[in-house]
Amino acid sequence: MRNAITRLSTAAINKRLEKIQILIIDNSIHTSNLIKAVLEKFGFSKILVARDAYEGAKELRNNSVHIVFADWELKVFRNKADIPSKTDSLLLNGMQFTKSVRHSANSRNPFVPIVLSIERGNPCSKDSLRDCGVNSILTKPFDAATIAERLINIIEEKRLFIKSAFYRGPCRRLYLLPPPASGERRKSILRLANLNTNHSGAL
Amino acid sequence: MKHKIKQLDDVATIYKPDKALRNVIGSDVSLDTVFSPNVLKMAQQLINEARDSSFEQFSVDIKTLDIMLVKIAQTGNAAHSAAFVDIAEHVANIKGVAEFFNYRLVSNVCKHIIKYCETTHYQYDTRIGLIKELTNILHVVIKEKINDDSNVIGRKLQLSLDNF
Repeated sequence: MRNAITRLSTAAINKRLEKIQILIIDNSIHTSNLIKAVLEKFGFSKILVARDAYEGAKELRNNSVHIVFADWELKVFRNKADIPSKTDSLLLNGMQFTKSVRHSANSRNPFVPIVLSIERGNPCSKDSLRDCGVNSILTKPFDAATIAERLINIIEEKRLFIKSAFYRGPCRRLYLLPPPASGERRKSILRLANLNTNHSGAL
Repeated sequence: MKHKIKQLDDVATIYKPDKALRNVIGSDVSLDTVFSPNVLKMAQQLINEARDSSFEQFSVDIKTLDIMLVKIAQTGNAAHSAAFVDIAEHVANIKGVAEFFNYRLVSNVCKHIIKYCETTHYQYDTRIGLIKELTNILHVVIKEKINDDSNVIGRKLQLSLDNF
């Protein structure tokens, strides 16, 4: 098996990577271009760029996108003639954008992996960012190795995808560890607590 | 393959991990080859080059901003809204790079400029005046290559920003 892996040439690998379509959504063209250049160095060539949340949603509807790199700031500066309602134009940040992709009935792929990049000192807590359904968070400034790490995690995704009325996104338990070997599970601890209560009359 | 579990009043549907990407790439492609140390080094070099030339890029961008400000002062009120959108979009480019490399002062000034491009609480002339003042601050920050408020000029500029 190992031999089969090593036998693949860079050109053959790049041909496979060509099939993956990545969407970058960022208000800054310079930043989009930089991330695009980094992804191209990795071998990805099908890269779409959108300027704001509205353009990003449009690209997602019209194309089969495999990974989304979204920035926190996704302001819609320009009045788009085809914005159907006020609510669409209010998609201003990456968190709201992610929620709309995960929950919207019009969403082409609510499961699409989303990597959200945030500025250092972003007022939102990591918990609230995680709860919006993103797959991964990139805190700026980040390096090429961090981008690669996020991509590897997405390609080798081991987490379940949860779809409920309150949350849609990858399972928020990052590590799927087996139960502790000691056998001290929550149920047994609770049962023990109940027994203690019954015997002592305390609590 | 999905399983349904009952959770109080909500039903959650659990889907198995999505292997679509792995299927597209193929199981015979090792990710260690795709993201080899050599590839990572070349990609990092791109980021480093962008960081090293970021202030030169800012200088080019701020020159364009100056031209835009001259134009907006010459245009009539009817064309102002569109011109403010152009300025906000242009400044968002600078802000993105500043945030990417953690140049907090540049990013803060840009945030203020965008704020005055978007607000409708002030008259056009007041907004243009404020944006010009902020652009002057941006000129100093970029010329002196001030990353944050850790030096004297940076602190003074940050204080003056707080008044905007």
